[in-house]
Amino acid sequence: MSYGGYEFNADTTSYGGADPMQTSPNPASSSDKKPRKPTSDQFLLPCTIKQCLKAASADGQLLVDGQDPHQIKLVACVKSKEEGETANTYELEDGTGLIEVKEWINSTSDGDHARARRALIQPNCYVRVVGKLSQFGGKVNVTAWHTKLVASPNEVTHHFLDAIWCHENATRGLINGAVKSEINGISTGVGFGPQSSGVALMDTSTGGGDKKHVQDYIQQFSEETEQGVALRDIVEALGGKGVSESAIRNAIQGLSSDGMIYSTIDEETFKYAM
Amino acid sequence: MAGPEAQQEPGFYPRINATMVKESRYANLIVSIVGKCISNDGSSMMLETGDGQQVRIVHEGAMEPGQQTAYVEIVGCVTEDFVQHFVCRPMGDEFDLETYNEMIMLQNTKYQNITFQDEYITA
Repeated sequence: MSYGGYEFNADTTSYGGADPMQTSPNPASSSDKKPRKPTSDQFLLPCTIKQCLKAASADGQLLVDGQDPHQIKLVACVKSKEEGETANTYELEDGTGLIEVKEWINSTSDGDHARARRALIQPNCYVRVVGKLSQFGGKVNVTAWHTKLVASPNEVTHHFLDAIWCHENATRGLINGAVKSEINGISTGVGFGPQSSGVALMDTSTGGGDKKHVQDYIQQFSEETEQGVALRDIVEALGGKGVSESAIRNAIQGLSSDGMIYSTIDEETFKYAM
Repeated sequence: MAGPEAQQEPGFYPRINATMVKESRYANLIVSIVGKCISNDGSSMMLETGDGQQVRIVHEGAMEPGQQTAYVEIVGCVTEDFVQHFVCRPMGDEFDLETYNEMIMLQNTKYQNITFQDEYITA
């Protein structure tokens, strides 16, 4: 049994784009009514099936590690496949649980390549799935807009390590590989804000935790002087906590392009914009 | 160890290596083992896992010698000191067993909360 010969696209940002929930006839989706999230809040979260199954919370929201992921990625083995005219339904298992995945087929716009790709997916194959969590009849399942055989069995290992990393980042907040500890004077709640969640997958230049700490610091001290917060003060405050100057500069660049901060008297002094 | 009333849910099987087969924690559980095929006499085979140890997989003819990829994943039941084969999945001819072993150690210790069925999580 081969694993196809498809290139593994490591650029997970390519999975973004039009929200398929707007065209999906799934009546159980509650996300249709929510306003579209800003791009900075959308991310792709690699997770285990157990994390997906446990995602349902009391208020009906589907949260993984306290965060609503725009998209989730699974790598799992196909236990069963049911082919239909308008959709394929798979049962996937990865050792942590079993979940149903539905992939809608648009037969009018489907090309030979898409049909060939789907035909390769058979029981006992490992596949990579990108999609959205949904809930129906009390069960969590996945609506997939991308299913493909894994490019290599090593992808299984990679995915689980990736899921562990994201889980650790979400729940304990990694700073340059070190576990986050209390940082004096900066609010550090459990969980994480939109900018830091899963950012590691889309922004490889800085850990999500760094950006949050820089943002918190600037937000806290922004109003103390008219000109705002100087870069050297941020470096001094966060440097002792393991955040490097280059990480701070990267974080500032990200916050600036997100519109969270703006420079004042010079290129190294900032105020909080919100 | 999970209580006698605990049953493995569909899709839940711990990923383990040859050393862990001997641990009481996994006795009679359905598990997954990934390893390199060392030998296959037609009714059982020896797999070498990422910890450098070997485990016997009893398949009773389900896996014909020479017909598998170099690395396989076996899902089966831990029975005494061997594993009774249920399912075999090919894992290619070039698999990084060392990294896989590191990963399963993390899954079986620190990250049971995102891996294990709740009743089987141990301290």
